[in-house]
Amino acid sequence: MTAPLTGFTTTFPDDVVLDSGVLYVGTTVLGAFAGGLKFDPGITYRNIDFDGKRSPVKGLDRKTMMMPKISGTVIQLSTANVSQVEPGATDTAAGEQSGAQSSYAPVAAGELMTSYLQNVRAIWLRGNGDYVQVRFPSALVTKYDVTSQDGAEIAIAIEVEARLDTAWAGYDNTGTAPYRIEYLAAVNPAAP
Amino acid sequence: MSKPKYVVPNTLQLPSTASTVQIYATLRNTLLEYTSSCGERLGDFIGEPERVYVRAVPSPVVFPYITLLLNRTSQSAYNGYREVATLEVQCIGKPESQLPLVESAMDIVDQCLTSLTDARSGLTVGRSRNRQTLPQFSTPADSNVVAVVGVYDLFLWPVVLTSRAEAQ
Repeated sequence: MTAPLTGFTTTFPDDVVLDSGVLYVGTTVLGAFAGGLKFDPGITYRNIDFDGKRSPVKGLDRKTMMMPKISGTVIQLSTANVSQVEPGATDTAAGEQSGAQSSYAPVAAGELMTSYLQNVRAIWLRGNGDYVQVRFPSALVTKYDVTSQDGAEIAIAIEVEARLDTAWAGYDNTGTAPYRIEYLAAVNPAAP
Repeated sequence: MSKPKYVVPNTLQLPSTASTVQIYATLRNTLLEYTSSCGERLGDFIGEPERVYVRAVPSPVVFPYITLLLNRTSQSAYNGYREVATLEVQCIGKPESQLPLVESAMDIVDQCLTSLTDARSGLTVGRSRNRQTLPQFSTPADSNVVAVVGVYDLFLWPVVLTSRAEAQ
């Protein structure tokens, strides 16, 4: 009798990645997510063209762009979250007339951003109890929207894009990938 | 990875998913070895020796006790190697005053089986469940019996099935 073909291997139980994962910003968890986290390295390749080319040719590929992005839907909106999704936003309640305890003023358009998230990490559990993470040493929430729902938690869809920070050792070339895929024996919030 | 073997007395190697009997025994041990964040164990509520049985309780019955019943389905999408399973856990107490014990025991089971990731033999994962406290019975049933039933959703890559892939 012939067994069915399968991708199952003896290391599968260790290597399988489970659950929706968690998103850290620095040493703290960003929040609770509904559903999973999605990581897209956003890689664009170009296979150099030449006259008479009939198919992509080995050795002529060049990575031309990387737009790494982690996205997901968070279900909470703390004051800390506001400063994460609106980088550089400052509490200007004292100057407002609304009577609000906190009033976050987003960064004005036209200015160069100076506030970036540090060490954003999407961490997933592996079958063997270890972890795998995608880490952005520097990142920015480039998109978010807030949707409330009847009888359910709020849904805040966020997109976090990596930014190459040449101040980091090993990230000093403009062609360097602004992210890493890393394996961990334990999640240590204090030592990302 | 060893091939599944028939079980004979005193040869049950655990933890293992190499046979259905071993899957039951591994799940039972997992429940009994689990310690909650408060330091509580299942044995604290159902007594020693731990009264956790498969399918039926032996006579004479001592309350409270737990029975396990596993229903497993393998899926063609994974060439039959992956199973989704429901583990029905019934915790039964008598008299009615045992209800707090029964509920507390099932809290431990909840915590254990909704955070279960066991890759020591194959892979067994549990994350969700449905739990019901049964209403008070009336004649002809015994109204002094209290029961909580939890149905836990698991998925498994059990060695009893995946061992077929060894040659690949």
